[in-house]
Amino acid sequence: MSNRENQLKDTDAVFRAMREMLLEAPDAEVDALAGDAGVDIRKLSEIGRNAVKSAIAEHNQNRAKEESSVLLHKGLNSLLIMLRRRDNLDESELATKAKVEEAEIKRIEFDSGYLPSPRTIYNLEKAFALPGGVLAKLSGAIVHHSPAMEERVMEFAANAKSMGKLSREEKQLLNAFVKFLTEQK
Amino acid sequence: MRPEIDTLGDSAAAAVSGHPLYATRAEVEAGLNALTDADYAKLMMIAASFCRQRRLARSVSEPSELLNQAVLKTLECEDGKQWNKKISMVRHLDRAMENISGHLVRERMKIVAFPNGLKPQEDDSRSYQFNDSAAESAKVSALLKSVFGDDDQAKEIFVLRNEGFRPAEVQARLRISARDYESANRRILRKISQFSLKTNN
Repeated sequence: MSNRENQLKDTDAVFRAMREMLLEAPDAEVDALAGDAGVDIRKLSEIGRNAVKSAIAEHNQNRAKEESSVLLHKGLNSLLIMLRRRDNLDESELATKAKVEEAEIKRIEFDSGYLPSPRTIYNLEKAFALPGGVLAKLSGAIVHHSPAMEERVMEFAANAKSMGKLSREEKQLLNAFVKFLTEQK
Repeated sequence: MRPEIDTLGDSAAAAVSGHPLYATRAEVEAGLNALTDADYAKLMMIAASFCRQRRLARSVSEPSELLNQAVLKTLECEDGKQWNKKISMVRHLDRAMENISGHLVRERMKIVAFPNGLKPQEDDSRSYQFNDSAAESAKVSALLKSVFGDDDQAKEIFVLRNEGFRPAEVQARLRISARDYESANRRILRKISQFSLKTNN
């Protein structure tokens, strides 16, 4: 081994140097390179293209899931606030009635990323005398839902207010939303 | 040999604007969509090289899977591996794959070193590195031999290039013409791509 070879101090350095040459290879030569290695450039490019494509698709799918989960949480926050207003309960009174921590009620109402436990959801449904599963459908516990549901949740959250006694229109909005959720499978 | 700042000559990098420093998700996607067939082929050769270097078994990671992971991490932007637009997308993905494959190796070391489920006190992967310089030199020689075979000129030029010598300086040092240099350079690239794409598992 010559002294100069010692400059490539380990095999990692050799691999790195080889990759550097591949990175700097003129595009026009890549076709011939793959061919010389007994690999069809079109097949090789296609495998790479598919790997990139599937990563983009997977990423978009994950993003859509996240966005949808945030939207459903918004619906849950709004619904909880509206139900409290309907029953004239503050956070502390609701916590006592549903046997959950007051801090958790506040968290559900203000933290759109918070995922309440199944027990909390169950107790809240009981406290508000809701049909089983109505709140669970918005809590993220049930992941499959239709685009129509997302649309309806968005509409409800946009029209829900957080203060004062419920007006007649708000009561109608609330009842219609609960009915809609009940009917969702 | 690896420049920190690229020239933005790459087709993917050219597809996006120069500001701000880190690409947005939309810019990343535009950069990925601008990759050419030659870029994809290069990326696959580079991915195969990492799998070979790290001895990643096919059951653990295929080259295409490594590339897939690098793209996924890049799309995550600030939560993953941010693309600094001063470097080309191809070079960025090379670095992302280096990082991911290195991580896979460190994970594997932990599994091998602590088969009974015991956790190491700290990241002690350095202790597994080979410190015997003579033995390491022998490994380097063996690796160069398996890449270049008996083509001493190609090997010599590869080593000089890696030391930072420019083409004209290499030609002067080895007393070869520009034509011979170009011819040797093509042989080097061919041997490297053959070696990288050779199935090793």
